[in-house]
Amino acid sequence: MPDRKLQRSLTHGFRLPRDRYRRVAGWLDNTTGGGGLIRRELRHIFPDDWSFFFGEIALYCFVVLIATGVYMCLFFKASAARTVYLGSYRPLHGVGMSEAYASVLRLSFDVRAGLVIRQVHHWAALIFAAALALHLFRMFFTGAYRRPRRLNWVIGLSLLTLVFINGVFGYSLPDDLLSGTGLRIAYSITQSMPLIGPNLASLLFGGNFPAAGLIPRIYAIHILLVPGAIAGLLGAHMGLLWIQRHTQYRGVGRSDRVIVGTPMVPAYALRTTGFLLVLTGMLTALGGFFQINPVWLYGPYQPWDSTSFAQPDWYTGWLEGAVRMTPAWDIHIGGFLLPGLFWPAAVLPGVIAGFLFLWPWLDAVVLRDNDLHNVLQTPRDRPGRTAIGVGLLTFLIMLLLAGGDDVFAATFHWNLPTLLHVMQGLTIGLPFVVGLLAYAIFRHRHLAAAGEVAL
Amino acid sequence: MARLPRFARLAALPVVAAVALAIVLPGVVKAATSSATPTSATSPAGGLAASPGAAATPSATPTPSSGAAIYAANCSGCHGDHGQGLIGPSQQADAFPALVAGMVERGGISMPAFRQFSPAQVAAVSTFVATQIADPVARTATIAEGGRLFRLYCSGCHSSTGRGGALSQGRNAPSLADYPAAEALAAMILGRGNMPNFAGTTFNVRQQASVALYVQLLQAPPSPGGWGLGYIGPVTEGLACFAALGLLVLLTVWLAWGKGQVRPAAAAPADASPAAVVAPGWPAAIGLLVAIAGAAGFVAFFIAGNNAQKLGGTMALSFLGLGFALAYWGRDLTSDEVEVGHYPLPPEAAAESVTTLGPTAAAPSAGTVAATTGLAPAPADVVSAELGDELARSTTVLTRRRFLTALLVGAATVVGLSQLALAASLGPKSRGLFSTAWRPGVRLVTTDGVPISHTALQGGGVIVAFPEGHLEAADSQVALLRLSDVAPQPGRASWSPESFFAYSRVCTHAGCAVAQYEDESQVLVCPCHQSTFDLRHGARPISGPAARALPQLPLAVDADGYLIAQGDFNAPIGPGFWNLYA
Repeated sequence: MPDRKLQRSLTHGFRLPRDRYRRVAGWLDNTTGGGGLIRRELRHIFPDDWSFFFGEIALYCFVVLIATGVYMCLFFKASAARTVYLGSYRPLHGVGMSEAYASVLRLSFDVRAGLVIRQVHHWAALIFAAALALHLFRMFFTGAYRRPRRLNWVIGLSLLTLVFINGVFGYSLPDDLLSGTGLRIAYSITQSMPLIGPNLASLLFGGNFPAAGLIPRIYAIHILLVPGAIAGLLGAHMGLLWIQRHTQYRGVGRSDRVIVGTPMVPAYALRTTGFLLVLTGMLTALGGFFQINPVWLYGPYQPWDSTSFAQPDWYTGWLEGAVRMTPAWDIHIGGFLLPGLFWPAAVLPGVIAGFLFLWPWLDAVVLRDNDLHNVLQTPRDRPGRTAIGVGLLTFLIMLLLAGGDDVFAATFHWNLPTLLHVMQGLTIGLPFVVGLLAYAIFRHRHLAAAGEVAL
Repeated sequence: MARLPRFARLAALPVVAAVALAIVLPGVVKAATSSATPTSATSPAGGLAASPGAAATPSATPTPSSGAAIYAANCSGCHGDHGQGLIGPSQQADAFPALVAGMVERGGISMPAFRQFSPAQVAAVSTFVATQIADPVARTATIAEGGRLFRLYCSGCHSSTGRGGALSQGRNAPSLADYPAAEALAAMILGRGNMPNFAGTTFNVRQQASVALYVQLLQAPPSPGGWGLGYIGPVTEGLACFAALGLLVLLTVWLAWGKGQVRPAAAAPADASPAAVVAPGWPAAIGLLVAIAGAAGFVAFFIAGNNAQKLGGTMALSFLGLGFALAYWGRDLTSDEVEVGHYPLPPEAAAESVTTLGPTAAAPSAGTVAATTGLAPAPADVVSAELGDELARSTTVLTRRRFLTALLVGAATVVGLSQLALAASLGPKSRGLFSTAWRPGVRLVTTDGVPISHTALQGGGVIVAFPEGHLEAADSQVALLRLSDVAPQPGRASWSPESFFAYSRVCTHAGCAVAQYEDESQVLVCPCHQSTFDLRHGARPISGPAARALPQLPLAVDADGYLIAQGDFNAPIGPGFWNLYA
């Protein structure tokens, strides 16, 4: 029966009666006491720029990781106890392996959608780290870390460190040949520390490698301790962002006092929710069509197996490259040994992390700028900062590429020892060259914009 | 019953459609897939349940007699009437028809391809060789054993997925997909260049066949997860990750295009009522319909089976459709509202920023180039002052009693630190880094527990050996080699009876298994970071990040002719640590 009102609704849109909204609002205000606050924050202003979305990519990847992770932890068995596989993947039939590895095989082959969810989880972790790197460098090059956002910068770097740790532990849970080799190397790195190394390694890893308690320990850290810490810090991170408001680029009507942007409701909320779902869709497409971490092909981890093309996931690749390129620099002090592994694997990441953590204060001291800033700069406003950032980025990219040197040598039929020496030279020299080049370019543009030099 | 509100009635139609699809589609999908290959919907590992040879069966059933005729006419000239092997490898080592068929069709390094044969003829001669000529022992080979041995001996050079590896001096171990699997068999038996041979004591006939079967599997590795990206591993996965990130960044550019900016023409912020929006609504509608179809399809495929591409694809459609619709709605169907507000700053913050631009300014990014002077924080402002005074007032009860407060701080610190003692339960104090399971007189055995005779490795090659009774001792693993033209190191002449050398296989750099044994170069290379150990000079490192030689195990031959250890290694095995020389 055609209903005239229904017909008109379809063609002309409709609204719920006003008193229905007011009833909901009344309930909200009576329960939380925050009616006024909610009303103001519905119009919370978000400066709008595509380069502000990198943090959101990371945040939404985290959401997907939690969802897929919860699903998987119902099937994973965190035990290194030996078992003989008798499941549906025939090429491993009768092979001895840990319960953990067997449970991942079961999840991949026998649980419906298990493999898809596992692959979505792993792709989400890779993109999470990549988005965080983009986010970090966007902050760096635009000076978003300046007062009053220095605390948030520190919180953000702490989040990056936690994500790194969780990623490494996550891909080590299946106890396959590739990740088990990585854990062995991590053990050796811990062992290489002066004075405390061997005892610290035994303490953290539960004994001599491979200890039976290692997988359960990594599991507890990966699903509970680190995600909890990330959730807490993330709350603080976004809370500060909310209270301080997001920074903005220079523009019409904008200043350190006046913020111009899109109100949260309805446009921004719609777009960001849509973005969350599109990102999820993209991750599920990756998880369905692009195989990642096929642990059944790598085989279970045995300390007497190893494989060529042994790389960790990309966000650990820069450490791998540093370890490959550092020569055999064992140092003998009295009757004691400081192994060469200590420098690229323990000292270098510490130096880089320390430099990044301290950067806002270094920046403020060198530029003598302790003011509050809410307007972002562009790379050419601070050619020196841009040059340093570009140099650091070049250095990290060279380390990352060096981590895959045997893959490139085998693929392109290059001489691996020669390639290694070339990479060593480039890693030391190229950051300076590129940094100086960046300085020259951006200083020129800086002066051109000031009208002092013709472009 | 009260009438449903108008909104619910409107939403009912797509929900009903989705439910109907979800009920109908599984039946349709199941009917469609059951008429196609029966194994694909239920066993995601594909046709692995069937024997590898069955895949190549042509329509006409070959008979051994016709296979015998083909063999006699084409093969016996090189391989002998009974497969003894005149030029090529002995057919006694071949196992299954598919192995043979691969070699016949593709040819190998020393054997031509026989392209004049029809598929039926290839199948006939392959079956004949596999069933009439091949060693019956070889036919007991299994893929699983082949995989285990592959990962112990082969993956160090060829990678665990058989896609190759880089060796010392600019050489490469090739990808195993470049050759038929039977070529791997030939290489195993004869050795090739830097590849040692694995015949005789390292692999018996059954083990050779097993490894060949596994190599055949790696020609087309089981990939239920989708495109294998070359089976290289995290390097290609990382590249794909950045490609995906690039796509996401393009999406963000689209999403935020032209948003949140005050138009020069508009002198005041946009008013509250939504202006007329000219963008059409049908793109959002299409997105939503795609989402519904995807969701229904997902449920259908979930009920019908476990295909990752179908499940992932339909999930993707449903999320992408829904997400695109919302994003488009927010971007194009909502009027461009711009809100102007204030940052939460202390009221007396000094010095206006020089970057303030009036609404009539033209280009937003031109003009000021100096760093913004920002707003100096004003610590003396009213709120901070009041807060500061309140903090001072409320803590006087503590600060008045200085000694007690100091004692409080000390006690709190000590109590907190004392809880760190719990961490000591995490693990045992380090021990056992200085000794392994090797003792004087303990026999060397293979991974299957078989003792190794002094007649082993006469043709060269390597055996991974363990102490008898300690097959799971990771720290005790050795690479046993027979190097006739290598002189023992000074003071170690008695350690190498009959040119046998045994070196620890735990890399002294970071602990990976030193699995790359390069025959011609006479080096052991670790595949993790390419530490290279010179076998001509006591396995000392000549390139790469390792600084210590591989510890050597002193060997002897016992009364029964088996290899035994004279004692433990000459140095602690594995990576270095602080008190290594203690």
